[in-house]
Amino acid sequence: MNKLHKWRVTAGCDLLWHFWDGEFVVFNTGSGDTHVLDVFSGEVLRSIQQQPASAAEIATYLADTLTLTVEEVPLGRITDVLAEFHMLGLIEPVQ
Amino acid sequence: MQIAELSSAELVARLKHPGIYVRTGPFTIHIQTPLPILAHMLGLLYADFYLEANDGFADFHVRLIPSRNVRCWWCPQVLFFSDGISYFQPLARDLAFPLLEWGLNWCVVRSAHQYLIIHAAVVERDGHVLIFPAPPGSGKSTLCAALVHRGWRLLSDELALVCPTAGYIQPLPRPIALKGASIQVIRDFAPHALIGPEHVNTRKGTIAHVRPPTESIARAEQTAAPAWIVFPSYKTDSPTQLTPSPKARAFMRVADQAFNYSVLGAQGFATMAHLIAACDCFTFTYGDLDAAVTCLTNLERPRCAA
Repeated sequence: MNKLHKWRVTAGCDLLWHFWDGEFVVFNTGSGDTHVLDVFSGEVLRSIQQQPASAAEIATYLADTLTLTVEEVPLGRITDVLAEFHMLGLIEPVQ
Repeated sequence: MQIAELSSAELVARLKHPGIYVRTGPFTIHIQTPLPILAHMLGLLYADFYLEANDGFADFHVRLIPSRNVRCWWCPQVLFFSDGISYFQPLARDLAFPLLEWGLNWCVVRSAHQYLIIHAAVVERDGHVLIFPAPPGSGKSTLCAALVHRGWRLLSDELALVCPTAGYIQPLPRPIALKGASIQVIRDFAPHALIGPEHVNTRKGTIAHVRPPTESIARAEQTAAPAWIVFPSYKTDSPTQLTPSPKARAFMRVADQAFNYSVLGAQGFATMAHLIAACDCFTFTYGDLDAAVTCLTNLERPRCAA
C-alpha cells in the first residue's frame, strides 16, 4: 500500500459516532454495520471523514490529535488499519 | 372489563366467536379459538388483562385452531394463524398456550418497528427501569420472576420496547415463561406466585408461565425511563458478582439482542446510543437467587440517568 495514496469514506456512506470509555462506536449508514474502534483506529477514520487523506497525512493528523511527534506515530499500524477499513467497506481509495 | 369478570363458559363462548380483544401494553390483540384448554389458560394467566370493545380493530388478529391433518387422529395438533395466515408448523394441542405466547411475541417482533425491540426481560422500581438483555438460558426470566415478586413492576419478560424519540421503555407485561429447573426455583422463592401447568417436551424443554402481578397489568400504560442494563449469567454455586461493563461493549451486546436494530438503520443507532448513554451497564453473575435480588434491589440510582 502506497503511503501517499489517498483514502476517503466510501461514497454513499455516512458515519455516525459515539465515544465512551476510550472506545468509539461507529455506525455505517451505507452497510448498516456497527463497529467498535479503539482511540487510534477511531482517529484514523475520523481524519479520513474530515477529508480524504493518505497514510502519511493521517500520521500528521494523529500526531496533532494525540500530541505525539510524527516519528512516534506508527505508520505501519495506520496502513494495517486502512487495509481493514477498506475490507469492511468503510473507506475506498481516491481515484 | 377484565377477563376475570367473565365466567368460564362466557370466556369459552366468546373466544369461539367472535373472539376477545385484549389490551397488552400498547397493543390490542384479537384472539379467537375453539379450544377450551386455551380458554382455561387465558382465564388463569390473563385474568387481570383488560378487554376492549369488539369493534373489529386490533393490532394483531390471531386464531388458534385444531389442525385437520391425518395426525389429528392419534396426536391432536393446533395451528397458529396471524391475520389469516399460518406461519408455523402445528404443535401438539397441549402446547396451545405456549404457541399463543410465542406467536404473540413473533407478531410484535415482526411488525412493531415504531420501537427498538430488544430480547430482554424488563422490570421497574421507583421510576427506574432495569433491562436484562440476554440470550435464552441466561437466567433472565428467573431473575425477572423473582424481582416482580419482591416489589418490582413487570414491564416485560421477553421484549424491551424502546421508544426512539423519547427513549422511554414501553411496558408489555405478559406471563413470564420459566424453563426447566427455574420453575421449581420460583415456586420455592415465591410460593404465592401463580404458576400455570408445566408443558413438557417443548423445543425449549419443560416450560411453565407465571401470571403477571395485578399491579403490573393495571399500570401497563405507564412508560418509564431506562436506568440500568444488566447482562445476567446464571452459574451454579457462583458468588454474586456485579461488574461495570464498558459502554461501547454494552452497546454491541445489546445490539446483538435487538430484533430490529438493523431494520431501523440510523434511527436504531441513535436510539441504542441514547439508551446506552442513559444507563449504567453491568455484567452480572449469580448462583443464589436471594443474593441476586438483594444485589439488584440495592443498585444505586444511575449517575448518567437523564
